[in-house]
Amino acid sequence: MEYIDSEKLKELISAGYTWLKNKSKIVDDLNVFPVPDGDTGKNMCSCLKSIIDELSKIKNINEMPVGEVSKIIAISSLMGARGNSGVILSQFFYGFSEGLDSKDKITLKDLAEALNKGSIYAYKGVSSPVEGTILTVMRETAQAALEIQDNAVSISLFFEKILKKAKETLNQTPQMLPILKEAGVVDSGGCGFVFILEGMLRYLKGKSLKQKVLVEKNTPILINTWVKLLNYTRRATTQENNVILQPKNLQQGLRRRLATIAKRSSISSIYLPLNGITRVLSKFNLSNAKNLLSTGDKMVKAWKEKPSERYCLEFVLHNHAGGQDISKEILLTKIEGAGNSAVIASARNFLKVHIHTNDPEKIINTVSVLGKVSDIKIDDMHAQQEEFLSLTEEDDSHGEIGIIVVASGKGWKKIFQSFGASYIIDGRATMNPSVAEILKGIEKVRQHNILLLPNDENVLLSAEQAVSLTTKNVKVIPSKTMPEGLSSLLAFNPEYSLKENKKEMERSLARVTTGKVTKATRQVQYKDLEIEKGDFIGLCGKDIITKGKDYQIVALDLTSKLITEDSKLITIYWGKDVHEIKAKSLYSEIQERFPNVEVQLYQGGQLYYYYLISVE
Amino acid sequence: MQKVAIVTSSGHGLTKALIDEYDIKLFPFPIFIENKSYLDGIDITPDEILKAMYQGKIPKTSAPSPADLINIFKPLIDEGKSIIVILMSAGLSSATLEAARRASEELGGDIEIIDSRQIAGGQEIIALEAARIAKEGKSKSEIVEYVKKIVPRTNSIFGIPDLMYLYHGGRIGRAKALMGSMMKVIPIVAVRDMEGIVSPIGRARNVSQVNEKIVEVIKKDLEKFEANKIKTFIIGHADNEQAALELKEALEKNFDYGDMFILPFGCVATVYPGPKSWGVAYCIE
Repeated sequence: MEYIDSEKLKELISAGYTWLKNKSKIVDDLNVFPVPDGDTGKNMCSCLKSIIDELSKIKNINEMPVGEVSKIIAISSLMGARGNSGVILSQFFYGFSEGLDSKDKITLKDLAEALNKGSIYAYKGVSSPVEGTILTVMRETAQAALEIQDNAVSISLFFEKILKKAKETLNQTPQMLPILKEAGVVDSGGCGFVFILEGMLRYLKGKSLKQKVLVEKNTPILINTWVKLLNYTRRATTQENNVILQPKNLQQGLRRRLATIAKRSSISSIYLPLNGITRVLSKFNLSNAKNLLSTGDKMVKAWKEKPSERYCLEFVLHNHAGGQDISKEILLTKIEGAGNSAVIASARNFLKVHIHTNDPEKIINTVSVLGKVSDIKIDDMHAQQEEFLSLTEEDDSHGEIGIIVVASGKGWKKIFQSFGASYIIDGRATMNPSVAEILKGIEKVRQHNILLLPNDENVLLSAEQAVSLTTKNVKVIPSKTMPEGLSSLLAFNPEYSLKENKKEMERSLARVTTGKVTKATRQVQYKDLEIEKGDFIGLCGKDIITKGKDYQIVALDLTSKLITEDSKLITIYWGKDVHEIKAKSLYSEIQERFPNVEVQLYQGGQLYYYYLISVE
Repeated sequence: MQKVAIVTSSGHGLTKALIDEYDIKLFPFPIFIENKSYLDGIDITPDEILKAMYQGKIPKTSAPSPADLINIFKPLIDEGKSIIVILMSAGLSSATLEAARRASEELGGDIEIIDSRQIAGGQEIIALEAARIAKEGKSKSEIVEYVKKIVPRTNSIFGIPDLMYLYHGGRIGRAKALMGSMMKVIPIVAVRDMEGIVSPIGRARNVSQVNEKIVEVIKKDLEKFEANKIKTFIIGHADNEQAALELKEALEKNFDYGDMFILPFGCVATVYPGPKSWGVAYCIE
């Protein structure tokens, strides 16, 4: 006959804690009910950690009967409990411990009964129990334990069976609680409970409790991508002429992410209700957008809707000295009307209370008549929800940065490449790549964090549109010419975050003034310049500054008009239709004309402009 | 008599006048040019190193041996002095630190070894500061405590027209990211934040843009330390006085400071970044 002694009980809880902690981000990611604030995993861990911390203080734990140890478990779990599932879990442990009250060691029968008592206590602690939550998983697990207690030959077989039942129940939670299904998750607290049991079973089987990969937070990216896709779809279906391309990458990005999420939980045989959602995504096209909009909206709403009660209030209520135990029922009637999601965990001399409310102060005032209030904790759940669902700076800043540049001309492409551009989008003659071409570049680059240099005013808009259609984290540096883009690229520091780089690079844009020499394609009167078709014109921005019949003279004249007292460097980039000899002669002339300014000459090879001349 | 001797390595550019004024003891660094070995300050000068570099040679440094260092430390110990050794960043020359440790173990005297996390001007600032308060008669532990306080506040930034020398010297570190370009640019690198190795800052098109960037970085550092004054600037250069003077002007215009020196790089400080490089070390007040 196998027993669980005090030492083993501690090891089991400790294993449950370690395993849950490894998986706590997965649990956080499922946290949509009752309030999507992404902390279920953390809160449940806090409850278990508090137990482990107390048990670790005991020397020679095996000299202490299980009954004594369980008392410590009961109190410490209550003290460490935070959040809805945390307090429910602590109440479960309280009942569980009561069940072991007078035991020296635990038989499987004792264990089954203790689990049952834990489940009963957990239900009792909640003001209005909801099915499809951790409560359901606890109850079904306890039920299974009672049924198999006599047939189990070993503790590990016992755990194997109750874990199986726990997982089956967890997988049914979306059927019981509709919001879970809409959000595409199973219940987070229930999932945490499953991981605790799974950790215990792994310990019994001697399996490792180490997790190889630390899981990243998934929900925020998922929801943000959904929002983009829905916005796009709405825009595309309502404004006929605005359809640029199928948002394939968004669809694919979402499907990939959904597949990743589904896969990582399926390792533990936990199946998220994502089939319907993935099906809608794969069948989606613009002519049949209704399904996508309704599914997506439901999902986004499940995560984004603000809870009606804003604050999560927790406190401990102690009996007045020498006074009687405070009745849980009386307390409940006093506070119930002032909020929801009330959970009350009771111990011998105090109660731990958790409730969601808009008026925490009022509740504290009400209950302070009944006993002494301590350990008050108030969290703003609106803020927590926002933080949970926003892409944090952390998501933005870590990792390598890819640089995408729009460029025209062989020379320019080489220059940008030599300064570390990861991908060059061919701007061709007119510097007007399509949104699709830009998007292709974004998707092709290996990095998730990307800086995009459009290098032309016309490209800026398409660049921003492309950014709105990708799941990657792209920041646009609004460079209007290639020399501006180059100047900003020089300020790039691979060790800065995306945000810091954007700031530094934008600052360098202003350093450069770019002059452009091209041919007029039609006759035009601009200010006091009468320009004929075929004339060469010198531009700065959209401003025509000079004109003439010879592009060399126009270039020289343009340069002299761009130069100021502070200018220190002139760079000439000659274009496709200019011969090197001519470029060199312009170089010498400019050098001669401005002996105090450094002049450099490069082959840009741009197609549209004979010369690009930057002054800085 | 002063009880504590400050020892540091040669080759960063301290002038004889400063060395005498502050009573700093230097130990020479071995330098190799095409397999021929020289001792810095004894049989080779920075100008000769530059000349070799302009001829296409790539000089290298080596580290002093424990025996070399024992020869420096022993007489000081015999005079009854405690020693504080201020060394070039171990991230750039771990062998020197190792040699100093071995020498110290061997001698068993009262020797404190400090990794300056710096090179050139940065190391000099720390050595000068230590020597200054040693002259005031401060005890060894007081000096050590003070030095440990200023090491994190001392940084340096350099404009290095050709990163090849750092690269071949095996000291390019993460500044490798700045190598390779189709245009004439000047990479900007730093030894800062206690890292003790070379890290990238960015690139600029010409000297004045480099100097602008240097000013920006120093401003950021002041903000980070919530300070508004620089204790000491040491500007250094390898055959680029023009850039150094422009930098001096820019620093004067932008900062409140205590001391400012312009010192041509010594042999070691020339070997690493190569000709035409320049830079500044600064200690935040």
